[in-house]
Amino acid sequence: MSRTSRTLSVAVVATLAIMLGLSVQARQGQTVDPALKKAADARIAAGNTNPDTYRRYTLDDAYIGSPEGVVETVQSRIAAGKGQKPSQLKASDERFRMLGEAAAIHSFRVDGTNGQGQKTAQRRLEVWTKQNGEWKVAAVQVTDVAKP
Amino acid sequence: MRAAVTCSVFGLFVVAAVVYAQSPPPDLQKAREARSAAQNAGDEQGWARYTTDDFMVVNPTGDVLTKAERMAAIKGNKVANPPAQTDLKWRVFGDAALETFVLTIPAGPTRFTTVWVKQGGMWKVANVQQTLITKKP
Repeated sequence: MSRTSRTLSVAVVATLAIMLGLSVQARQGQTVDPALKKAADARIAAGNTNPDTYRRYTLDDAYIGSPEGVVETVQSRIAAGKGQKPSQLKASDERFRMLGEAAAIHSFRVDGTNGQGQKTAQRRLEVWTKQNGEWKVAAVQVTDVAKP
Repeated sequence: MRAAVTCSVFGLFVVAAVVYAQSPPPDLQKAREARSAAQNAGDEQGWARYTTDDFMVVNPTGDVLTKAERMAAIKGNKVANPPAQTDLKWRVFGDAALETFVLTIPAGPTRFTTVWVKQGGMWKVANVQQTLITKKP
């Protein structure tokens, strides 16, 4: 087999594998709505230091579970972020799972540094819902990672 | 008088709507009870029926566990006196539902968020997040 036909075979197999992967993803309903991904990215980038962005992507009556296990409100989160600089958080291990057409789970880990210069890590769960064509967070719960 | 009756009836409808919105539908309530019963009986297969294959749980130390790992932990591990849940709240969004509550586990009082999804006509848990309560509200 010549080098050209070997390369061609590899390309065909790779293309088929990618197509199969995409097809399985679509069948399971796991294809992420690009609008949801955009909203989730914007929300992480803004944190709670930008009230407009926070409100835009959060339901007024969202359930917000803090890392201390306290349930907060949108107003208290915005008040806590007032005058703060946006945190430089690095998101990783992101996972989107569509729950039908109008709800989705977004789970991920964020790593950062606290005011004392110590490394911190959290696991976050966001439940998004689509209302009037807009994706908004209906619930958030944050858990500190004991060994960052 | 007619206005007062109309207001009362309307008020009852509003109250009923709010109560319904905060309660799970009967099939979800049934699934929840069956899943808890299976877990407390150490029946990992019964528990798995009400759990999605891509299930994940974040425990109070921030570790992520899969369905297989949870099944291994549940298997044969009976719970004689399950702790009572408090502060239970529901929100339903079509084929998805959120259940939040507080449960005292060996690590201490812990806040739970459980995400349910209806798959093939059956309610299953897709995600659980646990956070230890370290601060009073």
